[in-house]
Amino acid sequence: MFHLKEQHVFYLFLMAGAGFFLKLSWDIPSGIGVENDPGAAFLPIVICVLILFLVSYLFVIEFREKSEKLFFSRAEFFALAGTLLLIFVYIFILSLIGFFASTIIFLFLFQRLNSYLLNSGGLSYKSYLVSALFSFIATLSIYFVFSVLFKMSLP
Amino acid sequence: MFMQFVHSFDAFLEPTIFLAIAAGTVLGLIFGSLPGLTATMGIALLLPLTFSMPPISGMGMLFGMYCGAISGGSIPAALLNIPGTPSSVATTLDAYPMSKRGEPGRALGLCVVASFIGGIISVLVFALLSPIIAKAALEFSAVEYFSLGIFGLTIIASVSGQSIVKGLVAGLIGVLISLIGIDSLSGIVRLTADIPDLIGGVDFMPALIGLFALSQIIGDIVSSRNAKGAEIKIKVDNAYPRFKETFGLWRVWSVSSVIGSLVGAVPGAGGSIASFLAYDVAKRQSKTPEKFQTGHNEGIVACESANNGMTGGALIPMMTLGIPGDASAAVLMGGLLIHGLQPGPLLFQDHADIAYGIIIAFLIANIFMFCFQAVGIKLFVKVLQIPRSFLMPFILVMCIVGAYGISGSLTSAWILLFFGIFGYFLNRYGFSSAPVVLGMILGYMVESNFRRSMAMYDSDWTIFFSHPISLGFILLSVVSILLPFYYRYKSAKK
Amino acid sequence: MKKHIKLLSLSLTLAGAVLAQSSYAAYPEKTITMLIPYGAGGGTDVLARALQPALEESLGQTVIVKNVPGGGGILGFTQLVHAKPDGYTVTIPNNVIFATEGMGNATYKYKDFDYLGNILTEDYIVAVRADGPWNSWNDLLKDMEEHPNKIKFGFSGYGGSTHVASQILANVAGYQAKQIPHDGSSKAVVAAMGGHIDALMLNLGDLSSGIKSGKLKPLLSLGSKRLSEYPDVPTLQETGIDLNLTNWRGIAAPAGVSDEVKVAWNKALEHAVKDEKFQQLIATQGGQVDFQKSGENLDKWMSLLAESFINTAHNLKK
Repeated sequence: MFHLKEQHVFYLFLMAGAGFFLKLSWDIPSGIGVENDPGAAFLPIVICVLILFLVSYLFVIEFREKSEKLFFSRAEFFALAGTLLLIFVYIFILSLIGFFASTIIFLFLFQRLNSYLLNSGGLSYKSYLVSALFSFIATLSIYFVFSVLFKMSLP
Repeated sequence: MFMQFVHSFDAFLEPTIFLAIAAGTVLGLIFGSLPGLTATMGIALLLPLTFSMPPISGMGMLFGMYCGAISGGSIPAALLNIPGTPSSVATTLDAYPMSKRGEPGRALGLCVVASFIGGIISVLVFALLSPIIAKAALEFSAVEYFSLGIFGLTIIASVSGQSIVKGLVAGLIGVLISLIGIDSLSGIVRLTADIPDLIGGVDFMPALIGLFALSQIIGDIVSSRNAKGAEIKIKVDNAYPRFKETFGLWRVWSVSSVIGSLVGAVPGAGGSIASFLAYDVAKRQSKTPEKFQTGHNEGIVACESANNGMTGGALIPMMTLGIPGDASAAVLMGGLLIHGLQPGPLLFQDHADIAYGIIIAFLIANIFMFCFQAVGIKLFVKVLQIPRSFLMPFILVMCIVGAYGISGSLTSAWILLFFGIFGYFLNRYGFSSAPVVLGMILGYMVESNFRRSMAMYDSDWTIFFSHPISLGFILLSVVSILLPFYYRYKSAKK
Repeated sequence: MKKHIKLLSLSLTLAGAVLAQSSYAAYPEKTITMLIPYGAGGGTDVLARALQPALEESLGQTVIVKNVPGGGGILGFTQLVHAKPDGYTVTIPNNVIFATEGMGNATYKYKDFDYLGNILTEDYIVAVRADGPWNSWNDLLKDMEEHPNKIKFGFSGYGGSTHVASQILANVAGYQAKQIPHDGSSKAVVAAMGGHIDALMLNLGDLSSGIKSGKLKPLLSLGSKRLSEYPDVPTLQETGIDLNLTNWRGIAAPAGVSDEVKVAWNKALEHAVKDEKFQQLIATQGGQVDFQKSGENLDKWMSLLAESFINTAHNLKK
């Protein structure tokens, strides 16, 4: 009896990754380096092959195993996508418009998303104000700790 | 010698020295508890300040930063499952489950006591045994580093969770990641897929924060949708660990502190290896190994006494040989150099009063660290009462900014994001993140030392068995791999 | 075609310099970032942090030390040459920029930097483990000539500045040794102190604690004159080979900074190196304060070093 499960997609990704790295390892030039050195490509190739082998084993074993199925509900999927997209955009605009503006916007939006998901509601006018205040204070305090107190450079 | 030792107390008549040490310790606790900032960075930032101070005050301040940061890393590890510094990765394995159970006070209390004991034992080891240990550390060549690394990798078996195969896969992925970047044995840039920012390899700190912190944050958000309820409110129990509990673990903390000091003294091994090793040993010696990774007090004590035990150990090669045991010790050595003190065997002859003064300052730093944290626990636990919808975005931004501060480029933020996603899926499908970290720490160490040994001994494999220390580690590795099978066989027989 | 581009870029940088001159008359007027291509705690990092107070005093602006570690310095230097040549981003380079260019791992060229001044020089030293049978450079050389590939000769990473220096030495002195690369100089020192490798090529600063503990013996200096600390150690030139190699650390900016910046830095560096504590630090690190202003002399010296390092490193790839 075969049971295709969600993790099989993950295993396929892992195998594709291992294959990609195997290709990269194959392309490492040999012959450069000191004498008697087995070379920079030796271990990477071994590791990639091992990963491929072990993951295929997991793939087959769990194919036959009858276990509880994991699956993403629609809501979960949107939560995941929303979170990742927000972080992605944040890192992207950090380099464009600087620390202050991007962090305030990000904190505000991320807090909204969080409280929406966690509380499933609470969309009152007051909660927007709280989020705005929070993002402003948080940005300032991070700026103070990192840039003023520790004299570190910010993006 | 004794007179010099007594003499070195003179410097401590000045009250400002205590102020300097206290300031360093407090800053260290802050630094360690902020994920993304490391002890090394903190010491480096304080370095210019100590320029104008007398040597003992300046070094005391730096030592305060060092102990404080290493110990402070356990605070977010216990409360939020986010290691504040690399050396508190292993702490998350048991401290977080315990505080999730509603005993954050107990978890933190155990961390604080263990850190303190580890620190004190390491000061004693440093003060009494450093010549012997320094000599032993010099016995380590590429051959021994290789075997030590292999032994370290066998720990994957005890931190891989339910499935050994999954643990192995995670460990191998970690090893592969550690090989990315420029290879010091051939100068070849490998496995970077032509991304220029990966030439230096995958930054450890952002990867770590991604695997632990971001994956945790993502997981919380996604799963919350299922629970369909108010935020999970943990009933916070402020109770400290009982004296009896703490004292009853004397074997774990003494063994772990000594392991920490010894591993710290091997140049290049570092605190994360020390705490993983101690965790492994504690699990093997324990009467209840099945309780580990579920919030067991022995696991917490082992990791925290080992990583603070490492602090004194790392100073041994630095102070007696002039060779820093880890990156933090390297910056501390810079602090000595700025005051015209050349670390090495002559330090204790030419500047005995200062050298012993520094040891005393180190001791005081540990005491301060204990006091501040013991008082602070009640405050730290309050963090859990902040709604997660506010706390998590705030922590995330600090992680990204901190990672930027260490590496100076936004690549670290992308690495953080990548590992966050990767870690989330690993956890979702029953893989554990700890083996990935172990692989990343040990992978390149094992590979490069294997190749270096081959270059040194003309491709002769047998050297790993003919060098006694190396043979010892190899045997330990074999035992460590076979032991679980033996236990299974024994329990099957019953 | 190539020539045209070169000319064009030259005129562009000139134009830029003229423009910059008028607008940056009051240099510096904001925070200066010192980009350190190594992690916190290395020799360069400590040097930067030791310079920091004196530079701030003289320049009248905050100086931030920013670590961009990775790839043996490549990442940080690459970030620097991509920065604006306005004098607000500088770095502390050394021979590594030439070696990495020669190895072909870096995208920058040594001409992408403007050298604002030299701070110190550090001689390359050959040392051996003290319990070995070699008492002089001649002993070691003879041993290496009679038994090729027997002596284990260590240095820090493959293709780094100490490897290139040791390769240059092997070429001119005509010996063959077993080359053992390490992950950084301190690992190489531990290996030699423990007797696991025989000889070392490193900068004096990395060796000094080993030498002072009596576990390492210096045999040869590649500097132009004998070391003041170890006057018995001969230089390579004295053995009849006309070559001297030194490592150095100075301040450099992306190519194309204005004269205002250069003048300001010359003044600031001159002030900083005079500080007594700073000199003490350099001395304990095994370096020699050797302040040189920016200008033709410095540039000439740089291109000489660059040539020999780039060529030798290039040959290591084969």
